[in-house]
Amino acid sequence: MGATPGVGAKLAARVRHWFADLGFKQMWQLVVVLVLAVTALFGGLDSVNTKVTVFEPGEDFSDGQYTLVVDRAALVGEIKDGTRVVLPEQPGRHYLGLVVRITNDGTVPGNLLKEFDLVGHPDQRFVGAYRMADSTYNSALGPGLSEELAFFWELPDTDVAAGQSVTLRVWKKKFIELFVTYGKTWIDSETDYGEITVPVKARS
Amino acid sequence: MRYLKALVIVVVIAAAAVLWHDLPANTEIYAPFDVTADEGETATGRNITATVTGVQIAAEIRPQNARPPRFDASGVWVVVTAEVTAVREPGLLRTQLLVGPDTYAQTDRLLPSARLGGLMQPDIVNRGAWVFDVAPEALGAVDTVVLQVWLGDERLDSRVQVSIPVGDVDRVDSVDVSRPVVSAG
Amino acid sequence: MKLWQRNAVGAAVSAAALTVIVATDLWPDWATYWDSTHVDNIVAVGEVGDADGQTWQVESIRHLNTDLPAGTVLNVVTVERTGTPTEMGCIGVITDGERRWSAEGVGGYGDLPPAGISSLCGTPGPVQFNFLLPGDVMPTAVDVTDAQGRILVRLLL
Repeated sequence: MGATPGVGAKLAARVRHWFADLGFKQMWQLVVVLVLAVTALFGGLDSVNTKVTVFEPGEDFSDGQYTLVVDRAALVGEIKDGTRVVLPEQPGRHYLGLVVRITNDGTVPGNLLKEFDLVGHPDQRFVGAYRMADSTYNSALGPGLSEELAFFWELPDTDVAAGQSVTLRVWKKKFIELFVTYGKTWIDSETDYGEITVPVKARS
Repeated sequence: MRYLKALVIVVVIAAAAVLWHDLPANTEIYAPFDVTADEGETATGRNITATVTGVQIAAEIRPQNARPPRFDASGVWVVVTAEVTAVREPGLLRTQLLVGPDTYAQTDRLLPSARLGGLMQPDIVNRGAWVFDVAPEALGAVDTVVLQVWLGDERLDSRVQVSIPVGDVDRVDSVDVSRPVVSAG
Repeated sequence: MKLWQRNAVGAAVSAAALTVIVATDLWPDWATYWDSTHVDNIVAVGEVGDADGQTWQVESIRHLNTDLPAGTVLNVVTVERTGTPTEMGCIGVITDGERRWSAEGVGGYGDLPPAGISSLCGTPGPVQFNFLLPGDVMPTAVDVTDAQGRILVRLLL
């Protein structure tokens, strides 16, 4: 620091005075700011505001890993493929089926079991996803594959009726490296999701 | 002098933050040790011996005793027949197929009992098939696909890697998938 | 404070931190590995042994050959046990000194054990393990392990 020692020394003196003049409370405020700054440097700050994207049946929605188009929702009592029983009839319960065309845009196989959150119906059990073409169970989708699937939830038969609507959420996802364990995987966002409300057609 | 120390502290913390953002991934640190082989060759790792005996590409599979009797793929089926055994201790059979940048797992449309899998035990040979549902565009974009086979936790353990040239693979209309067969030695 | 005093304090703090890391993070994994490869309780052939608060003895070994994959033999090992079980479940492992095989689970080869005998260690009484082995293997010992692979007792055959 040879070029302008005069200016440097004056600046240092001013900074020294500023530090010396700090009261106790202000010192702590400075400590908080420093801690936050270091935390941010090490990637520890996340947003907490939720961001909802509303989408409609027939509209493309991408959650990062999948692109999906919801076609329709309907209630069913049982599903059979010829003589093969796919979803058995259960007394007091019926199934809500959601028909979706979904494509895996990622590079690893995707599990669809937790793709949709059915909101507002606490007594629900997610049964699985089935291929519309042949009613076979298909809850995983490989990269680059696109399929028309029906997602089924089992509900009390008093819970949802034809003509009502159901609301579903799809959480946005990021493909990140796992630090504690091993490998890269898709993780749901804690704040961002898409929401769709679908009218329910009659029991068939 | 005090300011020099403060400056050094700031620089060290900043350097640590930069380094932290660039640490090697767990997949590099704990990577498995690959044992390579071609189709028809036997590869032996620490605890696994595997041989790929055939590969076929088909639009439809007919698994033994399945309902419904025929399954169409979302993309195309890649059916790999192989035999696997453990060497020293039991291990859960795991496999995946690499097609360019994409990784494929076995299809969940077949029951576990229909495909080669489960706990492999030393010197007990399991012969059967792995079935993958692969996007045809992905298959068309590569010259070779890579099959990886391992037992249990692959971190820092052996993993068998078989490169399969796509051009050499038989393309058929339909493949019968038999249940795995177990025998000794 | 003098420099050497400050260095001593720093060294003590570092030692304390290192001890905590080893004790909470590294030691449990190491101990599990050690227990899964080294046996404390070995029961000699034909003898009764103590382990885990119970007594253990090999009661019988049967070799079955019917309805099995080609070239394999089913070794059914029944272990006599007294005392109250502490483990909820256990894994039976048979070894020939170099290789290890785990026992068949429910739905595997071999029949279910008769009434009063279980294939898990949770209930009191004898335990039965079914081992599917290649026909040319000479087993030397049966290990009873917990779910993480720690060997509770080794029964020599």
